[in-house]
Amino acid sequence: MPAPPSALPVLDDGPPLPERASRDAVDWLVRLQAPDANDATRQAWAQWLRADPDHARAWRHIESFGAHLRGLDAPLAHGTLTRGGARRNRRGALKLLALGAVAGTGAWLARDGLRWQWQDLHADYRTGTGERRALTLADGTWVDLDTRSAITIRYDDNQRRIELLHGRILVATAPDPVRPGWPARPLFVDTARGRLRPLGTRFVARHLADADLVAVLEGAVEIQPLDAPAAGRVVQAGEQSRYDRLGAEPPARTEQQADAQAGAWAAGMLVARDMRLDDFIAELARYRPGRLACAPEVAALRVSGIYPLADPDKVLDMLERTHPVEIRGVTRYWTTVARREP
Amino acid sequence: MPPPSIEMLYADHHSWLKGWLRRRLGNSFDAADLAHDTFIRLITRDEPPLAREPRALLTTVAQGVLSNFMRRRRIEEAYLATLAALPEQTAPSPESRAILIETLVELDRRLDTLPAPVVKAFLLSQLDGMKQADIAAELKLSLATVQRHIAKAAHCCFFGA
Repeated sequence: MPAPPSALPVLDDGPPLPERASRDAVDWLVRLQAPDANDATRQAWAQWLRADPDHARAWRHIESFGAHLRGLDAPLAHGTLTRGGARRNRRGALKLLALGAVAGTGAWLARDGLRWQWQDLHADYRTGTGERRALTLADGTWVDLDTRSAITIRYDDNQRRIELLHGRILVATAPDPVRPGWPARPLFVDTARGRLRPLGTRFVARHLADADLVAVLEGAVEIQPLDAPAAGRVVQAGEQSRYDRLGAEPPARTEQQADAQAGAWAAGMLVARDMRLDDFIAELARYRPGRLACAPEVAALRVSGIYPLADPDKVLDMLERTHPVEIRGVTRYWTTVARREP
Repeated sequence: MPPPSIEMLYADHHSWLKGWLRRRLGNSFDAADLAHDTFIRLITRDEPPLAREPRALLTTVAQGVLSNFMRRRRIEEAYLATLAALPEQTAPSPESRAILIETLVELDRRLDTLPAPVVKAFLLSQLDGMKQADIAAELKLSLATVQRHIAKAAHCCFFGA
């Protein structure tokens, strides 16, 4: 896209400023703010200001820029510039991804759709925003990756392991191909908070901000929480369960959940059943680059229906027609679903 | 033979450019967006693209687009992390958020080449309004050093270099 107009003050339209003038102006700024500044300092400055029209131009620019800076939310701006500065790392774009992976370890924030890519550099397979990907592994097991997801594959002589690093996958397991003299290898899906042991199945595993989730489509899956493997559960077809490192919730019927879509995303659909609008928007946001938020005053509106994930903007249009909301976006990075004003 | 038009560049090298970007970005959706932005940049430049090394030209322009994109992502990510650490009531409205992000991306670009202590002294002085003597105590530097830092960063920030 063409460069946006500058968000910061620009020098007036006159001829370029001689460097002497701008350097002097900055020096005067520092001197006037110094602890020993007094009336004599200010008189000398005023004399400098009058001496040349370029001095006045430079000074006006500094004043307007300084005022702009002082108008920013200081802790927010300062914190962002300090955290976001690339000065630490000068080795180029790809290395920046690696830096993000090291710095961010362990803390996947709920609204971190923007951060996730940098953390999963070591993933064997990953998908971008709105992307879906289907894989067939060496043993015939089928894995479907949802938007913003990342996995590693660790198949060795003794076991078959899939690690879910981020996002959501649908797995259809295949029995281990027969190898003469070797026992069949168990298959595990390891998530941040536990290990899933499928018992001949099709199921969905999902990494969420505060828990992991498994929803079984066919067969059954045993959950072994990471710190308490014996405190797990077996989840049957048509059921789903959230779990953390210490335990698993009693399985609930998938079709009775608001997000009644255990596997529908793999077919490109978001299926909602009386779902809160803020939850719906949070789901949709995962498929759309940039930031999508729901205003609090409309968060409790309900959504039902089947929506195409391939075109999130179209889904937003549909929402505008069926609900009393309007879609507001200043740039593509900041879109909000808000109450429609009459 | 007339120099190649943008249309020819696009037809011949668009896919290749997407692949080049995808390897650096890790996904094809951002790569498609940035490839598009690269060609837009080329169209809006004054001189016509040179005949000789189209891929070199494309990668040069794409580097700039990529670097802007990375900078923006980095700032957005830092913004969210900073916001998460601040009390609820300081979160700005979505509209002013967008403008603030643009401003911070631009500031980050201008302060890019400066060492961290220089930027720190400058931000404390011009953003936070801290007195120079207090900055010197805070950063354990001499007053003269703090003043030098502020002057250096201020010139980069206000006048671009």
